[in-house]
Amino acid sequence: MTIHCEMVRDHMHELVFDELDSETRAQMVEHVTQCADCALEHARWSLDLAAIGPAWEVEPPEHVAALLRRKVERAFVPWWGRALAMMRQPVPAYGVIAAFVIPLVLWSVARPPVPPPHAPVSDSPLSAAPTPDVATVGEVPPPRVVGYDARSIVPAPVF
Amino acid sequence: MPAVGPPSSSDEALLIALRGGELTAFDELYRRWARRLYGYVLRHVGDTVVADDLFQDVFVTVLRDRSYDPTRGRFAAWLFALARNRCLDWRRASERRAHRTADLPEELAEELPVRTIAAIDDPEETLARDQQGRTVRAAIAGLPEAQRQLLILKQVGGLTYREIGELHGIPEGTVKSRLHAAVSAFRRALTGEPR
Repeated sequence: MTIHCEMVRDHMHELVFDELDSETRAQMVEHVTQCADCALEHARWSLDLAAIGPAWEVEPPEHVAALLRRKVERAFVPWWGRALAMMRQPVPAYGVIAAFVIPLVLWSVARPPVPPPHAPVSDSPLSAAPTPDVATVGEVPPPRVVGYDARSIVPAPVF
Repeated sequence: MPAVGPPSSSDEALLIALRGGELTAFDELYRRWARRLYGYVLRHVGDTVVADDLFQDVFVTVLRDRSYDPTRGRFAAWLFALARNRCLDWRRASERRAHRTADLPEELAEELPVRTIAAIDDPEETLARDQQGRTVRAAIAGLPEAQRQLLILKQVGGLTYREIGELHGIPEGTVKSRLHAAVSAFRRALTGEPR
């Protein structure tokens, strides 16, 4: 079938909209490539219609985009996925500092008191209780066993 | 108008990936469709606050709606069909409450707060694009409501004749003839030719 210019003009919008069947489209494209007038007309149509999209577009505000992304993240990424993603984030410097400083502070606060250097050291396995202070005279100190070793105790003779 | 983006990953494939928990798929879908959808909604309702809400609502609903099967239908058609319905619902409700009496075609020709040109550095180019955009919007605003809707769905949403026909409940042939008339009228308005 031979296609004439008039026929091409009638179906130009379908060609630009890409709504023709493959056979008709091929014939029209062939005609347009050979006919200067129809090629010019095709270019005009394409340009005019292509201007609609950009003229109609509007960039959504940033806060709307951020809000939408959070909603989508909550809807589609499971909690463990979000946690994993958070862990993959680069660790800020203050986080590194905190990771070292906080355990150090906690350790120094909870550290057991160091016994005074003049505390009596006895070889006796059962001598453990430190010398009571003046304030604690009269109180029974809690028993403490230092260096206890059961093998060092001589068993009582059996009669 | 074909969808923007790499042809290897279709919108439908991206939606499937997103439903599998891949958030980067959403970023790509957003990059492709957000400006068009937001522009469509904003120019439909003419109110930025309402447009912000409707835009988010439509996007999230389409992504979450499990009744939509990405392997059987096009994402764009679903997205714009829902957007159109939500906008119409809002307009009906708004008219019932009589909170809004502005004439939409005039609003369309007005300059809404367009934020599309922020990335363009050259002021002359910006000005030229702005001028062209104004001319195009004025030409579209001069079309009858039915023709305008068809033209926008075709060129902004990228819907096919069949998809538009299903959305409006009219035969494909009617879509074709109306679009032909719409395009002719639009081009006349654009070039300033008399009717």
